Amino acid sequence: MLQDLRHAFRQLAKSPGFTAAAVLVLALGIGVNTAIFSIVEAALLRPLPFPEPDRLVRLHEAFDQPDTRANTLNLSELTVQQWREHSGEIFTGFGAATGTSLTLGAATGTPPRYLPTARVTADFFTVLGVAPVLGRNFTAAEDKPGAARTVIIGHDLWQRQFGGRSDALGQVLLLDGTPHTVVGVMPPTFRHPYRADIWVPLAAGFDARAGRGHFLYGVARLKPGVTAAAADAAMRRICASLNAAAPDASNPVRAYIRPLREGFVADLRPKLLAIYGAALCALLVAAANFAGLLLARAVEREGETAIRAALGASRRQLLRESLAQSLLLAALGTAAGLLIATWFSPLLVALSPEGSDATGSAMREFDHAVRLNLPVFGFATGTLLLAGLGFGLLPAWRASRADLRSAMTGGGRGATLDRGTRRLLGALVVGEIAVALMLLVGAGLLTGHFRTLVTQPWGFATENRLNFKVTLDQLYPTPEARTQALDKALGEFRAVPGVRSATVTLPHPVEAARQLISNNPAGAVPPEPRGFHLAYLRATVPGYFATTGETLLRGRDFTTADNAAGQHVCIVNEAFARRYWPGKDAVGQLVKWGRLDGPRPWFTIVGVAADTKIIEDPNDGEINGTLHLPLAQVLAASVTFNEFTFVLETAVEPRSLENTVRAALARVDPRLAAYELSTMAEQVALTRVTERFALTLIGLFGLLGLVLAAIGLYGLLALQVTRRMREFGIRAALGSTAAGLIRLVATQGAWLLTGGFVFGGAAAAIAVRIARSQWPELPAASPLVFALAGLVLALAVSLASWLPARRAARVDPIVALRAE
Amino acid sequence: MIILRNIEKVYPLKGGVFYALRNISLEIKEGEFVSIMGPSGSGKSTLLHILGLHDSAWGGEYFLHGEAVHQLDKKKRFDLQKKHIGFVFQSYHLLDDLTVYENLEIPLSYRDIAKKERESVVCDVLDKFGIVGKKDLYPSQLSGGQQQLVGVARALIAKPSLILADEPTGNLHSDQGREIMRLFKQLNAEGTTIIQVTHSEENATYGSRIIRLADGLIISK
Ligand SMILES: Nc1ncnc2c1ncn2[C@@H]1O[C@H](COP(=O)(O)OP(=O)(O)O)[C@@H](O)[C@H]1O
Ligand SMILES: [Mg+2]
Repeated sequence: MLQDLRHAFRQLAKSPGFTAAAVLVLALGIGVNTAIFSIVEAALLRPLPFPEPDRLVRLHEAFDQPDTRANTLNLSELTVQQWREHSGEIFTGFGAATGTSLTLGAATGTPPRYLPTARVTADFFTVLGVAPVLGRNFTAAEDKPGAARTVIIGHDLWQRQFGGRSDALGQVLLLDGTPHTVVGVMPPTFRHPYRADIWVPLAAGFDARAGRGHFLYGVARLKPGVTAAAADAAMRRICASLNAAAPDASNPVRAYIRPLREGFVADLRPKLLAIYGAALCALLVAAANFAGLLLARAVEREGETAIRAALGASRRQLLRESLAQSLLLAALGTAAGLLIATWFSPLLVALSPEGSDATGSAMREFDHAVRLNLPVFGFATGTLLLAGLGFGLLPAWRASRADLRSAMTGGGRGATLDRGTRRLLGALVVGEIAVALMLLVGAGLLTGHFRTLVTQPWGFATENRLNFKVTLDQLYPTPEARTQALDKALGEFRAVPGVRSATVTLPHPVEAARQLISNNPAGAVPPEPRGFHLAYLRATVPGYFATTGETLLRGRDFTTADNAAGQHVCIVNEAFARRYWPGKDAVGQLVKWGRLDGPRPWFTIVGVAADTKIIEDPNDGEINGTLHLPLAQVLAASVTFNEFTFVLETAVEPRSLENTVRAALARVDPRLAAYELSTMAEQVALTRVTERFALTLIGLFGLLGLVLAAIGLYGLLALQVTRRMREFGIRAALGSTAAGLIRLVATQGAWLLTGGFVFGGAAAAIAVRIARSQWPELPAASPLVFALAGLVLALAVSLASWLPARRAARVDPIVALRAE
Repeated sequence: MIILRNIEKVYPLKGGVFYALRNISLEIKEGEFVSIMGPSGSGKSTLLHILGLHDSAWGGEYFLHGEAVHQLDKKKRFDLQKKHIGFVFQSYHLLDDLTVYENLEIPLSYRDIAKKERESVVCDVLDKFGIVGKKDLYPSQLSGGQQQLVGVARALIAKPSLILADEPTGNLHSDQGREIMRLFKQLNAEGTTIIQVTHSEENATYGSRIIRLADGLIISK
């Protein structure tokens, strides 16, 4: 074998052009695939970095309805308390957490800084199976209202704030103005949940009134041997007995239990798989191309092979020699591919939503840095073997069976390709064209999808708008205190030179789907057993429309009289109004917050706002519109709303006001920090990153596939033209015009193209159907997309046929026929 | 029919030029059967390619059917060739992928002849050459003599007034060669002008005249 390899190496060194082409084709296919695979591995395949991660499950409250996230709720404090108490037979541990943000105080002399924070039950980390790398976990005593304040900090903060020193333990951090003692440091890259920088005890009040809010993230560890079905049955029993003890329509009927990992990857999976599918297609084209190159070479070297056979080489030996060569090429291609991957991977990650802290999936809370690790390397090697052995075998077999007689008599050199070889090469090219078409259709489809997504107007102004968030939490515990602080801040911002107007709202206008509100329009039947519809909540202050540039169609904006003490009023969007009061004026109608039998008030509609663009979460289920409520009335009803977005209309470039705006906030309260400060235009550009990423990549693969398919076709036609020079000479001598010869070659290209179109079209239709079943927002592929993709491909293929055809047309019969 | 005056053909070589043909002047009348003979490398094929209008890079004057070939552009020469000339090659040059029938059809397909008419012409010729039974076979399924028979049939099919044959029997047994020569003789009797290159004195006896070449010069005509 070593001998074979050495021989193969010499052979390849003798024809650098062929070697370079084959290695390049393989390297492109393998490199791109390895890079994508490294992302897939990090995001989808790598297990959670906890012991026995398969036993970790996420819990939701659920009713007797189909299992979609829209039909389930996060846990309430009451539920957590009850389930923790009763589920000891199926879970070894049951933790809960919620996300917030705390402001690291200016007391240290540095400006105040916003820190993403998780409030967790004392046993949260124990359930996961992670321990602080320094210090200790929270104690049960610390997880009580009124306990001494403690904090566990993330590895990053530890490095930044304390230089990684162990005396960080016992130090005091001023969080939202309250001193917290540092008791532990978490491992590097651990930021779960809510991408936290710090963790504080949940210290749930479990009081009966607030206990009904569904804001807790629940995670549990199944006892060894407990199946999902058993856990489900046990939870049903527990829920039933809890309901029997204290009957309530809003009691959950069961727990919706999913593997913990699943929750993080579910949304990402279809998109990543679509991207990966495209990458795989590109690899297929590359591999087919590689096989085509090998085959063409086998044909060209037929004479030599025949001589070898005549000198006594057995078929096995010939086969082995060819295989050695293709394996050597595959190895070179893989090495070059890995080089491409090491260069391409970071680029991809930077480009991908996964690379962005702002938009990446929850997987970024764990150790999921993308790298070329063992599984990735294994993948590349597997691909190598597939390409080298699988696709190399065919040409090798072909070479080993070279027809001695015809090859030796010289007839072989001049003769046209034999039917079998031609068919094989043709099939490869048809396959390449088909896959390229599929890729192009995918790219076209995504482009169309993406265009409709981004060209749809937002419905609010994006130019000259500065926005940032401020969290008011423990520093301002009451609704009154929060309302006052927000008012004071608005006054300060409005006084800043360059600011035309200012408003505050929640949630951020671009993240409208973040906050859902349960509601019942008067006269409409609520879906049972849930008992309410869901709308997007928009909490605003008077002047919101003027500052954001949204449109109030009818009625009035909120006024200062619409405060906590005032009459409950709301503004609905057009979709909401049209749905419940078609053809009538919605102004004056009533909408209830929450269940009809719940404690929340009825709101009177005072205005109708134009619809705005909202990036929906497909898991939310049916949404009946947008409800604007006065911020003061929202705060009075629930203290869980603590993150506010300020929007400032500016007369100057918004970014230029950053420092004066921060100073204005400091005048309100130096302990507050403005975070995620950016312009509305920037914010809007950050949306749809996943789609953008998918589009970019699939487009890229489409291009790669297109180029490779064109090269493949060119190679085949060029080889055939070489082989058919004599035929062309004869035809020219018999009276064929140059155009006739071109037609001859072009016809062949056209046949291959047609074959590719037929198979590719069918495959693309199937692929689109599969993609849509996984990624429902995707539109159906229009005939236009197919036509455009076909046109692009046809152009490339025409070019690829043109060059060999031109050569055929220039045949000189005297030269071609000089076999005489 | 053919008048050549001072035809010369040069190939550029490293050290200067090489005269493949020099000072060729000659007249061939309609209905002649001419054999060109001479040692290998004497320029026979070169001359035939010039006569056949494959080659256009030569000096001198060439009149074919009264047309001054040396003054015609490419397109006109091509038309002239299609109208008047048929070729027979030493190694037959049939197309391996096409059946006998399809091979015969090629020249017609290049001459804008309707499908229906082509069919009758091809059938005529198949009949005349006695190869109707072979019409669906591929060249590889025929003996050399049969292949050359098809080659001659193909040269003839577009009814040229002049047939050029470069060593048509070079690859054949003498029996098969004789058959081709008898065929040429018959065609010549029916009025087709024939110019063949041959090494065989026997073959030359079928013709009416011999032109001998050596080193690119005519040494007898
Ligand atoms: N393309 C060419 N370049 C240079 N010399 C050539 C070329 N073609 C033919 N010759 C030379 O011209 C001479 C005549 O060739 P040819 O007409 O084929 O001879 P033959 O009489 O054997 O048919 C030969 O010496 C040959 O080597
Ligand atoms: Mg010759």
